[in-house]
This record gives sequence, structure tokens and C-alpha cells, in this order.
Amino acid sequence: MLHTMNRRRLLQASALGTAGLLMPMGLSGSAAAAETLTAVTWGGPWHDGAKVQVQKFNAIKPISIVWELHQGGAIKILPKIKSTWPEVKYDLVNAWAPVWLSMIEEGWLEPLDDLPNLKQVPEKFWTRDKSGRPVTAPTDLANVFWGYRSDLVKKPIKSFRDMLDPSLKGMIMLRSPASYTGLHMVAMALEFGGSERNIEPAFDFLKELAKSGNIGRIASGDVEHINSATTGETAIGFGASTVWQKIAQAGPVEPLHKVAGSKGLKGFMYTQGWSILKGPKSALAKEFANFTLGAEQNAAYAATIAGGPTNVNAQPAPEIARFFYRPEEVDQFAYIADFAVITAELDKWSQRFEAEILPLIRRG
Amino acid sequence: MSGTKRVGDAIFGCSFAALLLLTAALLLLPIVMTTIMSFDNRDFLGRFPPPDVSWRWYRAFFGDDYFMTGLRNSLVLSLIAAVIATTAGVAAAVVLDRYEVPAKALISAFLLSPLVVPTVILGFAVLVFASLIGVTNGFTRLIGGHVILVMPYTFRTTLASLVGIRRSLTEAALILGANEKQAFWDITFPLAKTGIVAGLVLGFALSFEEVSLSLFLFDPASYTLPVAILSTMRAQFNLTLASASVVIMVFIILLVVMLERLFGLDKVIGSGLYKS
Amino acid sequence: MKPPRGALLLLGVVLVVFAALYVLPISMTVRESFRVFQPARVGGLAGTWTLANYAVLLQPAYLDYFLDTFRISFIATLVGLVLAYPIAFYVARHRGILRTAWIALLVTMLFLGTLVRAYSIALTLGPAGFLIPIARFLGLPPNGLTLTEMVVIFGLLHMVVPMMALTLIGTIGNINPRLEQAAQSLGAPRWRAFLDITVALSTRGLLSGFLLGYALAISSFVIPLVLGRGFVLFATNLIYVRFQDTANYPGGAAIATVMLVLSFGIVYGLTHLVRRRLETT
Repeated sequence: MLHTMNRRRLLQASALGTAGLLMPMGLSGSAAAAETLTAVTWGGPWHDGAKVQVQKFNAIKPISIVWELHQGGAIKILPKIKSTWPEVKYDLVNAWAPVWLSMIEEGWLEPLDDLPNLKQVPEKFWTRDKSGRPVTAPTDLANVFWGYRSDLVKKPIKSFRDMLDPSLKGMIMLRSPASYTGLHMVAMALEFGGSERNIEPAFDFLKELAKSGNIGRIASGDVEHINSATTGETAIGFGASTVWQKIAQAGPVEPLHKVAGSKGLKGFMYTQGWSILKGPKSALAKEFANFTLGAEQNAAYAATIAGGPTNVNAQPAPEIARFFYRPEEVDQFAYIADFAVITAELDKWSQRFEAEILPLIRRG
Repeated sequence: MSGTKRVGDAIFGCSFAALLLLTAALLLLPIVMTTIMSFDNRDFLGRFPPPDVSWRWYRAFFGDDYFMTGLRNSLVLSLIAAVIATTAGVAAAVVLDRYEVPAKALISAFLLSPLVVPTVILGFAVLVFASLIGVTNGFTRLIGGHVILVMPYTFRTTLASLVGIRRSLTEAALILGANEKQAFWDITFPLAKTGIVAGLVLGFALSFEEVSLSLFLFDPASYTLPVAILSTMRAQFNLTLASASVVIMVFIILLVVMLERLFGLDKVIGSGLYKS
Repeated sequence: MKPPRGALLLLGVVLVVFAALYVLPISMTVRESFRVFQPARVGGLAGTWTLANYAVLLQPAYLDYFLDTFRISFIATLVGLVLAYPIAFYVARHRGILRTAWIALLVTMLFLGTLVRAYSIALTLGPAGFLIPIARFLGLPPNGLTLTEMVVIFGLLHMVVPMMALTLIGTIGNINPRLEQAAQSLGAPRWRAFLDITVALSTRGLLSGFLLGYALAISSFVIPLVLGRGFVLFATNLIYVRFQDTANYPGGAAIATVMLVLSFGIVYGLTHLVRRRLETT
């Protein structure tokens, strides 16, 4: 076969090809008169819930959203914001306490004290900046805790010591310290007499756990955890109610957030929600954020992500009740961590984990 | 004596063929698995084999603008980066090969050095540099990074094929009355075409699949297909990934078939002096 | 021939652009490695100077991570070379549909890219796939270190074999097939002729291919990320955690600098060493 490759044909082909590709780009640019915002949130149920929020908001005001998804931890968005500041590529960032703390430190957040619906959210859920003004629109309550798939373990687990059992070889999914900013380690610290201010007991226990050979994988995000649990690779892990709800599709889940008498097996609660970066579109972004705080929207979103609503007039979905608390249980079983301490220590924990614990896991 | 040698030869031939077969199987196995799993009807990742099949993940993939935009961005980016890198790489290779340039070996090593730099480092470095000089556009950053990524390859392949062209041919043209420019475009360039095209194609391919570099440099308006896949992998709990992979594979196969028709894959990969 | 001014100018432009896009950013990263990191902030503090970021790397655990990166990559590249050579030999020496099929496979794999293949391997050799049966067959714990390293090596093979095979096709194509035939007609068995003639003559190409594959393997990020289960880590993964998770740019920059020095040292050192050997024989 004669391959008549000459420059003309090559240039023709590539010109046609590129033109063909660029055309749709030009066409889609002339979309409706809807204003565009760029929003970042987690993928999966969070993304689905947010898309519903946008859809409902469109009935009041047409907007179109360019989505970016958190790759595991929301903390990864910080370098991206910093690299272009003061130009903002993101108008709305769905995040949680540790990320907000850094953003407040850097002075990136738009104050939200004039949001009418914010008054329906209890003040203990607000996050304030250095001048005391609220800078977040908390849309849901998350609860993160240890748990396991009961069909994959021989004996029920009721304490951290139980996790050292030899029958659990390779069955534990450990989170990397950056995942949930190390709350799983804070749990261990609490169990053995420490806290986020004194993480040493956690490292002592982690050393024992590593030597036992029971750790099967170290996950840096929810997706790894869920896939590992649904395939039965590991049975025990640490995650949010959203994660456990997903795992429950594959097998029965036993959450360990209401273990009577346990110092460490608690539920770590924090708020998640929209924060708005100071930029040209913050007015529209604020309107949207306010909308999501409304009682009806709040309840619907919380149900989608298997989390707790923050609006006092919103009803929590019944199926997530088992991952949360009745008002009288909160004091006994819930723990609100000091994220200021955690974010200051996180890098050290991460490096210590790499240097002290990972080598033991690899050897075991 | 010849009997044992024939047996020895046969064993050699068989083990050679067996090794080839094994390698082919190893390379193809993951592709086959992914294709099967892309039809899994379950809403979560479960054990193989899938109990129930459907097209749902293909519907999810095509219904999702996210991947389509990423694909488009990747194609445009890689094309632009490959063309720029080929132009620069060919220019440098020609000058270094044809003339006595001072510190030739050093310049050559310098231009090849990005091959040894992990792309994670390159990505971070370019990101920080871009923000320092005020370049915040994601697409611009991506082009900058990808050109550096691809240039060593285009330079390398062009240089390799130029080295094979005997200088006497150029000199003969000059003696016969051609000037430098004519000698290059009419003699050297056509003979080096294989290397140049190979570099272009290689550069395009490497830029197209590059993920860790793009991970640092993209912004919401300009992200590449590998970034879209990796983000989805870390953000979603389902098998849209498998269907996305299969769609990409089909696309690539079509591209390869097109390459074979337009240029002939032989010319693209170069077959050396002794074609059998 | 002495270069005309136009040619020098052209080369100069290329070098300047290269320096701007490549040397400047990298030198800035090296500079960053000497800055002090303030937790909860993003990046290092301007105007500070410290060696702390390098000091932490002196711990034995980090030595292990670097050793891992270079050791696992070495094994993968070596095995990959052994697998790639027969492919290149077949493609260079034969005609026909099988040859075209091989070329198509290699080019397809190259275009397909590391990410898609890493993910495919994760599916195939992961808990949803064949990991448990393979582990049982080999008598290894499925979630243990050895098997995970093997899976990572398998992933690296997928990346380096097509690359090296494509590079080697030209090398073998430049070796006259008559030499091997001559050796055989002189009485050497096929395998002897193959090893002593063709392989021996391809040493330069083998070295070049090996180094290319090795450079790719040690810089690999996606494969250990996807297949390493979080405890088989390459230097690039450690860098990524610092750049992305903890925003500790100085720490990441320090590992990056060490990695650059080591990579350059090993690649150019090996080249120099083997070239010396080749010249003396």
C-alpha cells in the first residue's frame, strides 16, 4: 500500500481535526443567559446532592455550575487557590473545619453574616473568622467513626484492643493521617489517655497494631475505603456516615460510635458546607449558599448524603438515625475535636506516621 | 550432532514463542478484565465475575459532560504541545547535528535532562513559577509544562534519525549548486521525516496520557482527560471508570488504525537499516 | 561546518525558552526546600533559611523509601527488558499480520497511558479480581508487602515494556541479520547465535533502553499510588503528600531535590560506567 504522506495532507488532516474539535467548544460557549459559578465539592453523594440544589435554585434564578471534585481530602484545594490568589478560580468551596481554618488564616473567605437563612442554623455550627463574623454556610452535620462489616469478622469488636486479635490478619483499613485530618488517631489517643493535644498514646497503639499484621491497606480517601470494604478486602475501618451507608449496600455494618464505656470509640462530629472565596461573583454565590440553608433544601441534601441537617426546622432522615445521636446521647458519645490544634500538628503526625509506623506495617 | 542442534533450535524457538505469548497475555489481561467489569450492573465494586450486566456505566459516561470536555481539552493540548515541542526539538537537533556547536554534548544532555525529572516535581515547579510570574490561566500552564515534558523525546528521535543520514548526501547537494536551505529541505528533511514524525506521534501520546504533571497545572476550566479519570477515581464510588477506560481504548484503537492508513505504522516506529 | 548566525540564534531561542520553563521553576523549587514551613499555612515562609527539611530525611525510614523506589524500579526495568527484547526482535525481523498486530498493540498501549492501565490492573489484581486466588497459589498473604510489591512491579512492567520494545526495534533493525545466519552456518546453535551476535551487538541500545525505562520507573507516581495500597510508596508519592495534603512545600521540595540529585547521578553515572566498559572491550 502506498502511503502518500506529504506535508500538505498532514496539515490538512490536522487542521480539519482541530477545527472539528474546537467547533463544539465555540458553540457551547454561547449557552443561555445563565450566570456561571465554579464550585468544588466531594464526588458521589455530595456531588449528587449539590446538583439537586442547583437544579432547585434554577427555578428561582438561572445559574450554571462548573464542577470540580475534591480528590479525596478537601485540603488539596488549598494549594490550587493559593497559586492564583487574588484571582479566584473557585466561587464556592464545599469544605469542613480544618480546611476552613487555613482559609481563614490566609484571609480568603467572604463573611456571611447577612445570610437570612443562617439564623435558622444554631450558632454552635457556625465557623467564625478572626473578627468574629461567620464565614461558612454549614449545610450538614457529619459523624465520623470506626466501624466494621459484621459478616466478615469472627468475633464482634467492642474496643481497640479487640482489633489486635490474630484472626483479623489484613482486615483493617487504616486511614492515612491526612485523611479526616487524623481523627481516627485522635480516637486511639482518647482511648489510651491522650487527645489531639497529646497524640503519643495513639502512636504507641499504632505500633502495636502495625506489628500485629492486621492492617491490610492504608487509604487516603473514601473511595478506596468503600471499594476495599465492599469487595471484602478489609472489614474494619474509619469513615463518615455517608461511607458506612454505602458499604451497607454490600454487607451488614456495625458502627462503633455508641460503645458504652469506651473512651475512644466515639463519633467525631463536625459541620460541612459552603464557603465563599472573596471574588467578583461572591454576591451570586451568597444567594445560592443562602438557598441551600433553607429547611427544605437542607433536609433533602442531608438525606442524600446520609448526614444530619443543620437547619433547626429540618427533619433528619430516619434511615441515618442509627449513625447519629438522640439529643440526650450527644454528651456521652460525641466528640468535637479542636481542629486548630490538629491542623498545626498534622504535618508532624504525617511524617511520624511515614517514619515510625509504615515501616512496621511493611515488615509485619 | 545436527540432530541435537535441531532439537536445541526447536526448543529455543518454542521458548521464544512462549515468552512472546506470555508477554502478550500479561499486557492484554487487565484490558480484558476492565472491559468485562465495565458491564457490571452493581452500584458498588464487588467481586468478579459480575452477576448481572448492563450498559449503565456507558450511559453514565456519555451522559457526563465532564469526560467529554476533558477528552476535547486533552486532544487540543497534546496537539499544540507536540507541535511546539517538535518544532523546537527538530530545530535544536538539526543545528546540533549539522554544525560544530561549542559544548555540543553538554547542550544535548541538557535538552535531554527532563527525561530524568519526575513529572510530579516538574508539575509543582511549573505551578509555583507560573503563579510567581502571574500566569494563572490553566491552559497556558498546561502547555508550558507539557512542552517541557515532550521536547526531550522529539529532540531524541530526530537526533537519532539525523545521525543516520550520511553527511556526504548534503555535501553532494551543495557541490551540485544547492544552497544551505535547499540542501536541508530537499535532502536532509525528507530523509529525517521518519524520526520527526515518530517524535511527534510519541510526544502526542505521552502528553495525552500524562497525569501527574496535569494534576498540578489544571484549573476548573481546563482539565485533561487523565485528570478527569483520576479525580473521578478518587471521588466517585462506581464503575464509570471502567466504561470510560473502554471508550478511551476503542478511541485509541481507531486512532491507531487511522495512523496505519495515513502514514503506515512502520514509518512511525522506524525499522532501522535492515528491513527484512 | 561552522554554524551560521541564524542557526545559532535558533538554538539560542530554544535554549532560552527551555531555561525559562524548566531551569527556573526547578531552581525555585530547590530554593523552596530551604524555607521554613509554618503549619496550617500554605507553603514556606519567604526569606527564611533552614536545613530542617533535609534533616528529617536522614531517618532510616526515609532511606527505605528511596531504596524501595530505586530497587523496585530496577527489578521491573530489568524484567521488562527481558520481555521487551523478544518483542522488538520479532517485529524487526519478521513481516506479516502478526508483526502488524504487535506494533498495533505496542502503540495502543503507549497511547492508552499509565492511568488507565494502572486502574485496569487494580481491578484485575485487586480484591474484586484475582488477587486472592493468586495469593493462595503463591502461598503469600494477600494483603502483605511481598505481593503488593509484585503487583506494583507488574504495573511498572506495563509501563516500561512497550516503551523499551519500541526503542529496541530500531536498534535490532540496525543489526545485519546475515551476521546471525553466518554464525549458524559456522555451526553455532540458534540460541548461541542469538545471544552472542544479536544481543551482544545491541548493547548500546540495551543500555539506552534500560536507562529510559529506569528513568520512567523511578519517576512513576500513578502506579504506586493506585497499586501500592498506601504502604508501597515511591519518593514521588511522598512528595505529593507534602505538596497536596499538608501543604508542606519546603518538605516536598527537599525530597524533590534529593530525588533529582539521585536520579541524575544514577542515570548519568550508569551511562558513564557502561560506556567506559564498552570502550575498553
